Amino acid sequence: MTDFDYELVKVCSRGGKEFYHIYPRTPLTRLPDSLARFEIKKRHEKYVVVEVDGYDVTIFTTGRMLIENLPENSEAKAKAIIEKITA
Amino acid sequence: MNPTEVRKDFPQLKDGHIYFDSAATSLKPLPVIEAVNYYYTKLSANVERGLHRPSHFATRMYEEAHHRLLKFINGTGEVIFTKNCTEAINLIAHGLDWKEGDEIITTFLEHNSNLLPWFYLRRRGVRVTLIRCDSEGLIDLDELSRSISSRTRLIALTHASNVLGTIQPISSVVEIAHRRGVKVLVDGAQAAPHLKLDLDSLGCDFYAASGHKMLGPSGTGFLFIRDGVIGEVNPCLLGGGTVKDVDLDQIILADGFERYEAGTPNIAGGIGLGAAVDYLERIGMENVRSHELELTGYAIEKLKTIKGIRIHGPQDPRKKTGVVAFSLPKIPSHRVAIILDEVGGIAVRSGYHCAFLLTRNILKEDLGTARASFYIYNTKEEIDQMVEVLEEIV
Repeated sequence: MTDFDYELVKVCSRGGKEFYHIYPRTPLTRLPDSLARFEIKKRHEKYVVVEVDGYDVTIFTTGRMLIENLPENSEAKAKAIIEKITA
Repeated sequence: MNPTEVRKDFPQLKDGHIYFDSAATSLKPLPVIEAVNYYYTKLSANVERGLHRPSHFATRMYEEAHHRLLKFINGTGEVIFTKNCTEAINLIAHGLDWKEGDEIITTFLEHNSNLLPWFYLRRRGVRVTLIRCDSEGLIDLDELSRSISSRTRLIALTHASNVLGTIQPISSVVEIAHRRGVKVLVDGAQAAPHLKLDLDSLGCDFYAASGHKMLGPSGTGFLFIRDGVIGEVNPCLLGGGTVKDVDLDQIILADGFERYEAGTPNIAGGIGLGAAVDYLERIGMENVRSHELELTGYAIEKLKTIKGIRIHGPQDPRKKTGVVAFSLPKIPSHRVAIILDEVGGIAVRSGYHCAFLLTRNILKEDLGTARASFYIYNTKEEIDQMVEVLEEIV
């Protein structure tokens, strides 16, 4: 378990796909060190888009994230992805 | 209209954020906030049911708000305050006496608020026919005309699409419908805040809109019912204020808007909506339209420069309201929206915009679209900032 404290919001569930919005209760100041372990698909000064377990995740320097296109009822999977990113 | 001056009236803009989500709900100017505050601090009392002075003056302000709104939309009939446009449409869906086999015509363009109430009536044996629109979001009047049968009772369609902004030919729809004895309900949620309305000229029987999208407080909307039709709409809720008299074996319903506003209404919201109408009239709806035409045209031209972007709906701003929906290649709209917010402090809407049929079947955008919607407080410089962030995303 990491000490990353966040709100997890299911953005929508459309056509069997779910998006999760992760909002940190205490904003971070930089991207997590663990990102080196993932394939970085897009890098920007304020965010990266990485692939984690086959799902695209946009991660901002503040700790805010968007996990894309998970299957239905994937809250546990979303949490597992956050755990991997913030470990 | 000077947007720099207008912006001073909107406290939320002072933190430097860019608000391009007015199609969801607009920001509120100080006169509206002050009107709501005035009610709560000076006149807090119930309306239509008290002899004391606070009640008298609150009643006067609340009723005046109805009159001002009716004048603003220039309709001969009654205006009923609701909590939003959705409630206004539902008042008609549940207020008309439907018979098995009756038919309703609506379109692929509709927001859920003007679709689900009609679909729900299928349980009572009502048939719902959907007519398609072209890729710009314009309905086909010939198809509409062909779809009318002897059992058609109502055509329910949007005045302007909440996704594409496309303005529909309402006068022509009404002419076709009335020739065949069919009534017309218009969902004006995306038109009332942006176009100068003349409901007597449009001729529709019912017009529903959101107060909160036209600078009014949250929890406000309205329904217009044309004179001569009001007797056909049963109230969905009954209670305090809706009757003239009650006896053991009969109730006599109140005339006018009171018949449909059961119980204590959203008084502060209604008074605030009246202040919003005053504010828009001071600016002038022609000026609102002119400003939005300029911004929308500018936005379309700037967005076109982004590689691979798909801009949905009419490219001619004169055919639409100040709404621009777009998609970036292989990038989900939610990602676009969250990056705009986090990197640029820019608020846009993303997803299906409660218009599933349009997004899936006409636009064929399974990843949804991003939607920037403009209003009186937006500027070209803000559009430049949005385009700059979008260029970085692609």
